Amino acid sequence: MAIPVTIADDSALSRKNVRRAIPEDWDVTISEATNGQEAIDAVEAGLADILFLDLTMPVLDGFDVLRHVKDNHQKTVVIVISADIQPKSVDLVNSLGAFRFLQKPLKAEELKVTLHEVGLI
Amino acid sequence: MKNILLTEDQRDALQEMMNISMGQAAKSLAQLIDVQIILSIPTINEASPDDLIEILNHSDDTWYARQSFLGQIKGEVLSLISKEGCDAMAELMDYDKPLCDAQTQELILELTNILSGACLSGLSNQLELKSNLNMPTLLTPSTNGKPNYNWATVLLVEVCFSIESFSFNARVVICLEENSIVSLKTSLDALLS
Amino acid sequence: MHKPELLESLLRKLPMGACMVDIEYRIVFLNDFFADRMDCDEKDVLGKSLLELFPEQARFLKKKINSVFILKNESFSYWEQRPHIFNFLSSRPVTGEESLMFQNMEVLPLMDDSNEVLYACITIQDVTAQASYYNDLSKVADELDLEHKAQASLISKLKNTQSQLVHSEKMASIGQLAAGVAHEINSPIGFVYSNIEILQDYIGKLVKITQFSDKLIDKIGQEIHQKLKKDFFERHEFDYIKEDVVELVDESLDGVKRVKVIVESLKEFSHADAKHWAESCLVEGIESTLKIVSSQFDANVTLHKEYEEGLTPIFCMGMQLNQVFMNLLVNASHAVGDNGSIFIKVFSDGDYQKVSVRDTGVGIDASNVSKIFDPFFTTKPVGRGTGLGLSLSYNIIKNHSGNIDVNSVVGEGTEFIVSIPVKNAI
Repeated sequence: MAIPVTIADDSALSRKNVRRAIPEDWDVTISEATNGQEAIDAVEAGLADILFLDLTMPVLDGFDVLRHVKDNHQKTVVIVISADIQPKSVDLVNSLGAFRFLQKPLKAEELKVTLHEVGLI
Repeated sequence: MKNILLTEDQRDALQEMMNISMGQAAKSLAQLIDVQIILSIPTINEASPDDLIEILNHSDDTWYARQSFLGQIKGEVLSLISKEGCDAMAELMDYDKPLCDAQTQELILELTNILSGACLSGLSNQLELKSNLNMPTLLTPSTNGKPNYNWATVLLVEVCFSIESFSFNARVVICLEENSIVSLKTSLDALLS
Repeated sequence: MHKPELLESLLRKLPMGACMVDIEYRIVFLNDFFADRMDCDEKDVLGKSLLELFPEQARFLKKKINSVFILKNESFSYWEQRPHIFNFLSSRPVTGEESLMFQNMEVLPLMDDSNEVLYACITIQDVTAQASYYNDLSKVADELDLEHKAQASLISKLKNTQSQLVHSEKMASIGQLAAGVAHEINSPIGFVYSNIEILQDYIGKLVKITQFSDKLIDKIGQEIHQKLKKDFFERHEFDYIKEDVVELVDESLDGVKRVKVIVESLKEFSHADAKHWAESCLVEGIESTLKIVSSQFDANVTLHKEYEEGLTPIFCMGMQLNQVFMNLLVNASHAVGDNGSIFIKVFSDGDYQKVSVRDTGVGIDASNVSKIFDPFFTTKPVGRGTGLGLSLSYNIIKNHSGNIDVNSVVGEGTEFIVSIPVKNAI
């Protein structure tokens, strides 16, 4: 059965980059969210077993989404893909239970390695 | 504001690039002076001379500086740095307090150089367009009479840095002149295809 | 030569300083410009720490170099904020006046293929010429500015002087006029006065004569004469007239007396020869001045006088001293405004006679006390004071080999003490 995956990012280019980086042979159903609230809605709607999450977003930012997921949907696997690569931001992301932190601009190879590492493919 | 120059995709891509540049700038700054920077979403606008005059409308609580850049993209970076928080910044950057006039100027120029350098190099690296920054200089916005600009439109890419632990903020506005916008669009299209 | 060698030789010969350091601040390259100014050979300093070679700027250089290694961007420094980073001598050792080189510095990151900074390259530009040109220019601008300000203040002084001249001209004319009027009035008022005095005597006698006739008729006249007299007296209100006429004459005499006093004090005050040295009594001077200025005092201002008895006249320019007393009294009345007291004391103190004028007014700010005798210094609104009163007074007192002292407390009042030597040499 296809795995529900949501890509949450306010930038269309970034969402496209993530889409392109997802291995072709990986059986997933991809949804998109353009801000933090839409990301939470997607999680609530069961569209995000795996959530690719940006941090700097309008309405609700990625940190807020992480807090919500940590408190309510511990089974959701969150992979943060962000430009905010300040050490304190990375620490905060990790403490909020994200599986991995990937730096923007996203490289397809890096995503593949990461998915392998966490056992998703 | 009118948006005749960039398509929605181009805008989105440019915004994302600035976002990434800011992130890199913030990381570097964090290494240098150990502060956490609150990143905001970059804004992109086309501006008329009147819009620019509005941005440079003199305010007593702001320091102004500018720095020009040349290369495959050309323009100027304006920085608007809040006077509030400059003392705390100076301390983080290892300046002796109290700041004398020359040191204050040095601090403003250094902050300008660091912020605009980081933003511009991040952007030009991603676009694979070469550009070199020249020395920053302090700017005193004219309080009497309108300056005469000999252009109709510039592209303003603006990011705002604020610090988590104390009140300080800096606006960095990259102003691209018309010819450079053409190079920029070509590069953006190449990335989008 | 191969290309890299050519490039290196170019770098060595560049007309600007270039010095490359590694992340530990050790010098890995130094071009001729830099080495010449350091007065050393490149090989002597290779591998040495730049921070140790320039300890005074170590903290600054370290910060700049660190920032380049971390941020991977250029860093700048300007002569305006930091003129002499390196203690290099100027490029004009013989003809110029600058002894230290003004420098602009740019620190560049030199990166390898993997975008890591290998070295920081410090480039130094000698901007002594521009800097001294700029400094000269701003010096000239400053001088111009100063000159401009001096001119402006001169112009305002001239304006003040002009208005002061107009004012003193006016005062002099008024003085002359007063003297003329006083002189003209003096003789008629003199005979009016003596005539009224005689008239007073005559009237007294006339009343007595009439009263005598009245009694005589009552005693020896016939009834018809007595009736005629009574009727005549009543018709002409003799009883009333004989009372009133004395009163009228007394009042007139009193009025003329007052006119005489005013004329005399006017004459005294506007003495034709102001520089006239004569024996004069300070108390009289004060009194005659008070007659002129007391009209300026507000009704609620009380005047306290304390004159030592038996003061001898002293040799002085009485008219000029009156001018001083007038200035002090007018200032005191301005200081107290519409409520307060003015104390005048005249007393002897050793070889001096002193006049103290003290008020309970606003006082003089400590920062102004030293300036009050300066010409044109005034805190009064434009038109109220010329700023010359006290400076004139000072000169007058100095001409008498005397002193004028001031004690003042803001909010409590001011006292001026004028001391005039009793034995004055001309």
